[in-house]
Amino acid sequence: MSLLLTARPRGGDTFLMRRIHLLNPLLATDKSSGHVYTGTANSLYAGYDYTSGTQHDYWEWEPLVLPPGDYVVRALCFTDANYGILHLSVDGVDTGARLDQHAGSLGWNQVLSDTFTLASKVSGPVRLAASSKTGSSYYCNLTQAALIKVSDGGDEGADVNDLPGVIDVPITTAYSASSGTWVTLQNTLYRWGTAIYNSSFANGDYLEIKVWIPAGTWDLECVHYAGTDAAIKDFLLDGVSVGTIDGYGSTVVNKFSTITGISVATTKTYTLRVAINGKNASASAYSAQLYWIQLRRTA
Amino acid sequence: MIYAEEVMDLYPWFHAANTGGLLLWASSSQHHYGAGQLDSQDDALTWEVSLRAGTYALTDLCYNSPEYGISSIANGGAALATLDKYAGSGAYNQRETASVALAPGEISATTSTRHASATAWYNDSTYIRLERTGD
Repeated sequence: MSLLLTARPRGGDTFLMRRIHLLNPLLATDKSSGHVYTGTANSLYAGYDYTSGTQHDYWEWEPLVLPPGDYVVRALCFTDANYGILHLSVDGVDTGARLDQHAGSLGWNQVLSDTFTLASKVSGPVRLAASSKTGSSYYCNLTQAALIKVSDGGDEGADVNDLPGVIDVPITTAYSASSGTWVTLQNTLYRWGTAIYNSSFANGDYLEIKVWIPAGTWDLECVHYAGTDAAIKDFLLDGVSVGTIDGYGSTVVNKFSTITGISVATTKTYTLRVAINGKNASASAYSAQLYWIQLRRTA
Repeated sequence: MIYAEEVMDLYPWFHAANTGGLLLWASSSQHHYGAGQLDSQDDALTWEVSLRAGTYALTDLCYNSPEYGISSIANGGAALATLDKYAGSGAYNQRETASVALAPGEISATTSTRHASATAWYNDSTYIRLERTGD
């Protein structure tokens, strides 16, 4: 199958909308109260997030721009007797897609799927809500989910606002360059199952990873270790610092920290460098331990 | 100018279509605690992508062993590269790489051949990463 591009005036730009949208439950932009994360060696990514059991509990993600066409929604999760049915809505409209997590017995690492169609482009939040059940309760769980456009055509957007607004960065395993000694660990304590840390504990240690970022204003969320030995991490795009995160403090294995208001002038691939750059006066070392990074466009 | 993604990660469980079954396994030895697995000759996964055409560095984060086949990567039906996942003994967190020319559309991974010493047709991936390196 090939992508059909419509003719454009000479000199016009083309903005292709994303066809695979990763929905990360731990980085949902909104969710109902009472969610609990559980680490387990039985699950891909070493864990899952589950709801409180209240009807209509949800996860929600934005900003997402979805081109028109036929889609598959998939959820990586487990199924069990007391789990309910996830309903998918886009920009407040029920798509009719349902993911039934009820099963007679526990089944790890299931991929539940359903289909839906969007008649026109939609820019708005995507929500998975535990809104019905066939079993005993409304609990629902997610390790990851995704919306996948399976039909061709209609992917051309109007401008940069139609380009992806969420960029996931698997820093622990996809980095392309480094300085210092970095060690990768697997443990159910770590969100997404894998951590990377600098065993060299040296000021100046860094990791680099390629990231494609559309022009705009972005937030960067980093999930990292915080502790009395943790250093200050400087985040640079093509050598220019966009902000720092100080890991010093009480021990938190999975701390979510955000750098806001990052201005990106040009749509292109950048080198994102996470570098150790000093430490709190009370910190005992230049340690950094990372689990995941996500960029989200705010303007 | 065409603006489209130049870096993306393809997850086996978030494929657009598949031929044959897809098994997911979890292990603390593998990055991100596991992978998706194809197990028969000609089993395949496909993804539909909007990306900026060009040359890409492809990295398949996977598991290799004596039972594993060769993953043939194609784009729009055109063969691009092969990734041999045979190894004399089981090896987690392997990175099979290739440089490929990609255009928007279908990307597929098919286990169509295998090393002469391979004893089965398994093909596992945690993800396939694509990074654009040039035109």
